[in-house]
Amino acid sequence: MLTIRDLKVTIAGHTVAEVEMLEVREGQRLGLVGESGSGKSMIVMSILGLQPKSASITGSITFNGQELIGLSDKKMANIRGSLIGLVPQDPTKSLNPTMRIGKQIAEAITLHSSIKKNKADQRVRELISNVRLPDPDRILRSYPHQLSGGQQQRVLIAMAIASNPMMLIADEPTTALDVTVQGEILQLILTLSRELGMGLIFVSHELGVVRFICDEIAVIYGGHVFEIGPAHAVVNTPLHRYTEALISANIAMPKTQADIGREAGKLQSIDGSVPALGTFPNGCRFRNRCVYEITECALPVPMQNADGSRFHRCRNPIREKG
Amino acid sequence: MVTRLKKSWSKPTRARLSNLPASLLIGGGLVGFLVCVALLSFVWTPYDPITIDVRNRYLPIWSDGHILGTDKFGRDVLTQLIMGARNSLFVSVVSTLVSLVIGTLLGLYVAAAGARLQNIISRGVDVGVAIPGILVAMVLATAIGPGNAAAITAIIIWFIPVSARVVIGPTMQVLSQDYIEAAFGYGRTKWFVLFNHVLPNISSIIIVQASVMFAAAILIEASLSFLGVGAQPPTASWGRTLKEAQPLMEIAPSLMVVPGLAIVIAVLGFNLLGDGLRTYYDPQQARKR
Amino acid sequence: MSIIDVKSFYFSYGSRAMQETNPWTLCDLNFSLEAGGFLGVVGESGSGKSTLIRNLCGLLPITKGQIQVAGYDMGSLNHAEQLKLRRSIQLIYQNPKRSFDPRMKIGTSVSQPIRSLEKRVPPTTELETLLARVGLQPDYLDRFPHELSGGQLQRVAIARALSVKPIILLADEPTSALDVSVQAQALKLIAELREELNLTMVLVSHDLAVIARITNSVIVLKDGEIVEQGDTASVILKPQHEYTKKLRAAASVVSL
Repeated sequence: MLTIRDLKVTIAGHTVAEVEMLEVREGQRLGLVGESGSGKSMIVMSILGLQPKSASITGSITFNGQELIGLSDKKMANIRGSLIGLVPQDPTKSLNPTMRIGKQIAEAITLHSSIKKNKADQRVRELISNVRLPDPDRILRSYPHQLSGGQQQRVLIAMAIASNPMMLIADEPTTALDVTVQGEILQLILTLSRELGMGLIFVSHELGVVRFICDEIAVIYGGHVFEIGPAHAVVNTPLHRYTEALISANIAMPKTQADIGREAGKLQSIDGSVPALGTFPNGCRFRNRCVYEITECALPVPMQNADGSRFHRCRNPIREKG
Repeated sequence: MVTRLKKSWSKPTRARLSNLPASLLIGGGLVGFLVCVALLSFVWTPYDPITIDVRNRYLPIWSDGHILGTDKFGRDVLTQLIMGARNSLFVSVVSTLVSLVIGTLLGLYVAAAGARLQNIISRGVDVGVAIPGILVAMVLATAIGPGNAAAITAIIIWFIPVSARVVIGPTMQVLSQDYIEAAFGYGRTKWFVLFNHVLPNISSIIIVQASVMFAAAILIEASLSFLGVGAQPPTASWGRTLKEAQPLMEIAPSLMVVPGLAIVIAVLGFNLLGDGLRTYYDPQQARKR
Repeated sequence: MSIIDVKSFYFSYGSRAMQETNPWTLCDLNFSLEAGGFLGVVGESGSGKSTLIRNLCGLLPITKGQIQVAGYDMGSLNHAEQLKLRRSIQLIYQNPKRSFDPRMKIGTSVSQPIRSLEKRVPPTTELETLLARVGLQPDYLDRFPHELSGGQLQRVAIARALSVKPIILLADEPTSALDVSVQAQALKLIAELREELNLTMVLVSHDLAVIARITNSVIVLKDGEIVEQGDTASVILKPQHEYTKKLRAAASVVSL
């Protein structure tokens, strides 16, 4: 459904994202995982045609057979609203504070579909129940500030799916929310994607969140896709050294007495920090922080196929155990 | 990698001329020219600014010895213009600087004050901004007599609330940063924080505001002199030159055009400078440099 | 002996007139912390956890009740006592980029607490030692904050907090603004320094996993009230209150 080939995004001479190949099939849920500055958001913004004006893009992004790169702003805006829905990162900043919820959802419906204004109300209520918001009468009459962050995010999800898009793009949709609300929103996005058969691209810096919601994960660092594969396989048996380091740096919920308190010594960390744009090493972009660096890492690293469904870009990958 | 970072930062943003915004260059040039002219008047003017020369009245532009002609008393217009620049700049610099200092202190104080005091004073500031300044000048002129002193005082009263209001918002924004709370956390006092942390961080806003206020002050000074409230004869002033030329518009139109153009150029210069500085300090622009 | 002692403590923002109608931001808190203890405060946004930590270091006034820190009654401090208290208790902030004056060099920023509280200008060697303790090269002293990454800045923040040799270190979500790959680094550094310098520490976080990993005792805050407290192992492994259970379940779902 969505295919990215040889995408290269450059800003002021620096490559911020370089993707040879990325695919989302119908109904598939792909997670993009990366730290800040990894270029994950840039990839998503390029798909939506929302990249900064100073960015130049080469390569190809096709959606349903249609080439998106070079499409006019007007056509792109139409695709964004009707075929691809977007769930933003911070719900509190994404709703118009002076407009009632009902009106905002109705606007999202009438803008990109043939439904007339007077028929929109029924669809609004349908959407409200789709996103499991209780007491629709009250919600529709409310202003954004009268709703909690979680409720606002549900409203935004309702607006994103208003025109039955084929694909949903969610850019860190739960980062601004509390832990307890995060789980509910993730569950909702998962359920909706299944019920409506929508493809999903889910962007996050947390591997745990992405594993929960996606069936495929792409790990991104320094603008390069380091590893792609089925979600559980990537998390359980990572191939790339960066993926492995990221997993071990994760501060996981302790399960036994032994992991609790005074466990600082056991915390694993990755040395150094993510380099600033333009200061990444050549070859493998992670090699200056990697403990498994070998001389070949300074050479450009091509994407390698490990077994049918799994790809990685590591000169010194983790071999299968046993 | 460390060395590379260090290298690029050891030469701080010493921007090349070509990288500066055009408005900054043009505005800076005009203002610089104006300042030079005003300074020049202390050592040299083409003619004596006061002496009346009855034989050479109403000489047109490009006359021999009088490039910009003479007025109804036979005084050299160029000389009047140069002396006027001195007066214009004197009034605007003094009034702007004084009101900027008082206004900034007031703004800092208000922004750091408790909620109730803040409410009261900022209402006061709003009222102050709303008072028509020309009216204040008129009242002052009748009270202390017309002249530069009245003009300067009026502009100061006019600009204090304006500059206070410009400072309040950014100050509150800086005060909300964690490094301010950290400073209180290691025992710093309010005024120390205001002067050492807040002021440096809002200095660009104050500089931009200053150049905008210079422009406004020049215009106000000219208006006040035009209305007869500002500089009195024999002090040369653009506004008064303009006023004296008004009845003679049909006999000698150049007498009006010349000081008018001088005002336009001065105001334009300071406004462009302010605009250029704003672009220069804009963080998004700065990142590109 | 308890070094932090909080007894039926209430706090509310706003004036006294408003307090009749305003619900308390913090309501009837009771807890104490032994010297050398490591307390975790966990709660979601609006739970009052950041307010509590500012009350503990005297940045906010006490509305009702009592807080004693290092033997001082926080409700009735004179100026001299306040300065002494500031030396013994320091705070590390959530967002390192916001906790440094962008126009001050790192060296100047780090020297501020010593200049302010000890009334002396620390020699460069002293500042270099401080940076070395948090694993940073001396040449960082001449840099500006924007030249450092979030993780590096948070190290500098720790160095700055430790410069006046406090006995209590408070940290407000010290890792949540950092990249995943450096979160563990910062947390490890904090915990190691705490052991090395025998600091009493309070760590505020929304992340139950972080709290569980390194603290000894824990307070669960919800809407300004303590819903559960105890030693970390029992609260995490055998939560009693429904809310703690919910928090734990939510955190476990997305935990690796």
